[in-house]
Amino acid sequence: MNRRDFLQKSTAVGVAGATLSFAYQEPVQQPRPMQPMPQGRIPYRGPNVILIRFGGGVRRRETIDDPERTYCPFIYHELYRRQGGVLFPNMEIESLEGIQTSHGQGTLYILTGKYDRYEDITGRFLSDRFEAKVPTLFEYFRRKYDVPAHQALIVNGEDRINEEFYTFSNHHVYGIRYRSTVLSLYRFKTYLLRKDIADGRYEGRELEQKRRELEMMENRDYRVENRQLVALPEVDEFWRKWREFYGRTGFVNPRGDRLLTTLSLWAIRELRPKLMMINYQDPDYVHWGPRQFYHRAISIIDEGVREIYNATQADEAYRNNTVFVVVPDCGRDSNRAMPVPYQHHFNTRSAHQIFGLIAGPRRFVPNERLAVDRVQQQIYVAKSIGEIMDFPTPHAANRSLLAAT
Amino acid sequence: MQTANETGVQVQPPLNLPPIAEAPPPVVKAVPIVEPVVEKPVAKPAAPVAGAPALLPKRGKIENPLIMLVAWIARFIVGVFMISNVFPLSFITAIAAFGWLQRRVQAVALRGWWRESPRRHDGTFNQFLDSLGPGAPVERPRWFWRERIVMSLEKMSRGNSARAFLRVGWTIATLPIHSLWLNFKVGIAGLLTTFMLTGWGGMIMLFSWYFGWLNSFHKGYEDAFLGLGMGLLGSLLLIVSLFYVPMAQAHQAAAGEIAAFFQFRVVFRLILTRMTAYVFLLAGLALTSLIFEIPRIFTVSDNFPANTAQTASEAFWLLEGYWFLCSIFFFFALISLRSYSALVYRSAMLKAVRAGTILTSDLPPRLALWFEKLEIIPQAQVPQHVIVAALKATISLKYRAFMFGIAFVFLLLFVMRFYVGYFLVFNEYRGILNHPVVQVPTIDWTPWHLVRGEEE
Repeated sequence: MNRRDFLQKSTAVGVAGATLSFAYQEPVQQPRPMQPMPQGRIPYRGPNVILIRFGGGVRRRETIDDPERTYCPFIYHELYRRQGGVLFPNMEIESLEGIQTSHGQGTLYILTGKYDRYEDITGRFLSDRFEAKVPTLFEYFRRKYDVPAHQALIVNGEDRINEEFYTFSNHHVYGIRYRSTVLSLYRFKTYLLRKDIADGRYEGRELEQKRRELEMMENRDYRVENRQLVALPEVDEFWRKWREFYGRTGFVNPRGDRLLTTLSLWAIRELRPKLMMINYQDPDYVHWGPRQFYHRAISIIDEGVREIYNATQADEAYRNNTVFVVVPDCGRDSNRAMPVPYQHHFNTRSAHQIFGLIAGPRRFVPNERLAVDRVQQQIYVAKSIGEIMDFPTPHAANRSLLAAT
Repeated sequence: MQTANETGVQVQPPLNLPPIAEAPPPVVKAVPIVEPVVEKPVAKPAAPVAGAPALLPKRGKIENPLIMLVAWIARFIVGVFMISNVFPLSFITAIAAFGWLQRRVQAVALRGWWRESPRRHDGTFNQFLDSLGPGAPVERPRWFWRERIVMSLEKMSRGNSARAFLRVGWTIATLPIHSLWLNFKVGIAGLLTTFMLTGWGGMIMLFSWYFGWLNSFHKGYEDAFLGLGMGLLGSLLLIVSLFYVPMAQAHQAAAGEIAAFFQFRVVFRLILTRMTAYVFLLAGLALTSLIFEIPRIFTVSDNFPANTAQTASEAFWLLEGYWFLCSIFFFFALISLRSYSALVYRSAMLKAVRAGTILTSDLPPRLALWFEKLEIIPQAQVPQHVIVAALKATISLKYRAFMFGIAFVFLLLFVMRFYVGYFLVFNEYRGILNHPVVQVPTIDWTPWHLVRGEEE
């Protein structure tokens, strides 16, 4: 290179740099947008998927084993029999070393499509704060499709706050950029507190205390260092409407799993999710013993699924364009020597035995009213959803439930 | 006209009385006394009302130790069968086991008093018991056959009347089951009084467990305090009642009457008299309940035999066999606890009666009679210096307060053990309403669905 060439090229670089330096402006005191998404994300035009986590632990016996004695008649008779879904009555959680049959673990097996040994990151006794090492369904989905975070939803109950943090994994390629969004009473309370502080409801020492409380609530996921990075005005607007409707006491809105159904119905109306997971949980109350806690809770979930199904059928964007995937997080024991044989789910054989159901329009779920007898694994759900929504799940188990049909 | 002398006394004219007859009055001659011949009545055995004395056997029998051992082993085996056979029959026969244990407590208490009595030199303890009549306590209560058969028949046969004949006939007919009836009778009486105190706490805890879950883990809904509050209240009531019940059960056992259970002043005095030993008893109850919670929790395991059985019927029998094996140790523990309870009780009663802090007039009639027959009377106490007495009273008060605290801790552990165990294995209303170490003594927790031959 001669001197002329060098001067020409360096001038060009300098001009380009100057141009860029004038173009970029650091926003001051404004929510900084996330890192720009990688190129190549395409709009999503596929079916909506509603993933029902039939939790916290249900057995086949009360759900799909006996049509005449099922406690979830809508799921069994309507979604499976009448709508022609595909039932996997022999789904299981594999009995591997370190695999636990519990809610957090089961949810992550479903979300990641991978069995893994999860331990509480805080090291506390009976605590189940887990972090996925491989990407979740939502991360796979949003990495391929240009879907905003508020349309990739997890609807969570107020009793399982640790599951609020399954929105993204620790995987270096995916992670927070492709996170899902959680709708829960915990998030509502966080929103309320933030709003109250912003509106000047508190002052003095109380204000400081509330600020600390808000900081603790928002930073409960230590991985999110800056709440501004994850701020979603759509979700804030959602909570604003929720507050207008139900107030702020928490005593007016529905409770337990009925709350999750209501949140889901609101989400369909307001946020228009493409992929939504609903973490039903109330059957787990049978840990305390009374049987009706369990049976009644299954029926409440079933009624909720019916309401959500009806809502999707009443919405043009969702009608005939929504696939329901129903799968428990884990089973329950069947210890006949106990008066309540299903009181717990302590990693027994029965606790590993679950089921799966996929129901939707023929073009997405090709088979009709089929029961697949072969043993399937819970982790196959991830790839199955990936196939339905057409996104890859490279770190999940490479088998799909639909392939077994 | 009457006149007065110088001293003012009226002067009366002299009396003119007739002369005394000279002839002496007739004397009745003494007739020699002829004593009539009276036939001595045949000595009849006295009616054994409240321990009326009867004829003593001339020689006491010394029992063959081998026979004694075999007899005890047999009673033990029957006892285990009584507390664990086939549910729900176990629950019913366990009532008889409770009665049997109460009768054993009675005998242990009375033996202790007899050994401290001057009457111990008059013969053996069994002779003394026999002197109390056919209804007196026995050292080794029977499960089925009537006690003191010959003495009972002799009593029933008094008088040659049709009624005596019927009495003897009825006695013979009920010979094989009289003790069983007696065990049930004493058991029902003991459990009735026990549940009258402990049942309130259990009922409230039951309500709390079934209807108190008006909350999530992070918020209490309306009336959420009700569930937790009722649970705490019920637990507190149970703890308070458990502090009183073991001594009251022993007192009722010894006295043989329901009213004795409710002699609050007497029972509290007994507790205070042997406070340390009593706290050890409460500790033993708490520890025993903890130990025998473990077999119940084992049913959670997937590998538990009844859970892996092929059929519900097989599971049922495996489970019943399991409870039976556990009941061997449980019955042994019960006998030990009740025996210790009897020792504490009798020691406390003896000390209290001798010290005069409990008067025999305060005692139930049977106990009062026994103490009278045993010649156990209040003894004169050596007077103490006022400073020494005050010091003793102060230390005693602090010590008692301390022991009350220790007792509360043990009973709190008893209740906590229940809650933890019940969270792991929920036995519906049974475990909440019945605590085997103090109430119906059965650990047969077979579920109802297995009794019906169903899987669930």
